[in-house]
Amino acid sequence: MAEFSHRSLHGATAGRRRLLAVTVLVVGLLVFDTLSGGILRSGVRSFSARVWTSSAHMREAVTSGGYFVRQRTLATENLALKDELAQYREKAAGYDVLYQENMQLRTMLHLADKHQGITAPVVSSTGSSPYGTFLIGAGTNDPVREGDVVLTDGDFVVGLVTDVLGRTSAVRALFSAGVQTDVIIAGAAVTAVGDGGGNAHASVPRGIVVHEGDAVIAGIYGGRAIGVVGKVESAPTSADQTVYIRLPVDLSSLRYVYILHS
Amino acid sequence: MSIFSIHSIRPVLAVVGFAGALLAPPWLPMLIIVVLSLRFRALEAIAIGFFTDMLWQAGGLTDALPLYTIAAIIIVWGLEPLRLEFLR
Repeated sequence: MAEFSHRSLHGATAGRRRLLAVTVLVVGLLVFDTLSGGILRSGVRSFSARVWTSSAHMREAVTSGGYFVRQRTLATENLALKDELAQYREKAAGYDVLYQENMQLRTMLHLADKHQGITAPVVSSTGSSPYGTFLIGAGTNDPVREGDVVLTDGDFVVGLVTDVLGRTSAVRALFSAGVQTDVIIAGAAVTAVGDGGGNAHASVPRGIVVHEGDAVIAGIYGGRAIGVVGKVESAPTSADQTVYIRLPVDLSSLRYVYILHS
Repeated sequence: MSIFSIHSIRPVLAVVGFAGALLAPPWLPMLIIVVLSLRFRALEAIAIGFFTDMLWQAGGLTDALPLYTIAAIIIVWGLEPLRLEFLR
């Protein structure tokens, strides 16, 4: 007859003590961070901003396809030509980055003429946050306050400053999942619900004629646009039509934003 | 014994988890937390959750719950009986 056995828990005690200690430590750090006004968050975000900024050239080279294209096209050439071409392309990629930054800053100038605020760089990924946030390189040292409106260079409201710490601030995207905003679409006052990734949706009465490309206006942000209508879906059996809203700019391409003082 | 033992993948997963919190879509660090917790009594899984919340969560405990930290703690502790039963 087979004997039943069980694994001894004796050896696991020390490991579980360590796990318990780390759990208590992390909870303690969370409480400390809250009570201290975000000392830990500030440090983590400064580190993140440095990593993000210092890796900008590398990411640009990879995402623009330059690296892979270079690898493919130079596979048959000799090593010297490869090196030379790689150097030229790296310089060209660096020039492109600087040119794009210059153009974006130039387009920001018209915002600075019209509104009181500051231009700030985006210093994090815009698609990595589970909370629909991203970081900008302006903080308590700059005149940035919680609730300030964040604009793209096209004057679209992209989010609100929600957490100002040290040299960085967190911006909550207006189209974060579940975030509701009162808007006006084709003259109808409705509520837009964020879907994440720069998209949102709203239910509009079927009697209202909505076209793709119509501006979606938010009265609480001074009548500024927060997006445009991307698609309209209506079913004959429903009294409402679903309007899909999108931000006309790719969030991941944002390099600079304009912070409008509230 | 191969140098690529199951334990050598643990620091790699941890690094991917931390880097993923910074650069990758939000599901990646959560996936790493789950994978680490399935096999190891992974203190670093809790650290990844904590790091993610410190990085992205607006405000402190008073504004919103640190969901990744809470999820990591629940997953690491919740899988403890499973690890004790099936793994050494």
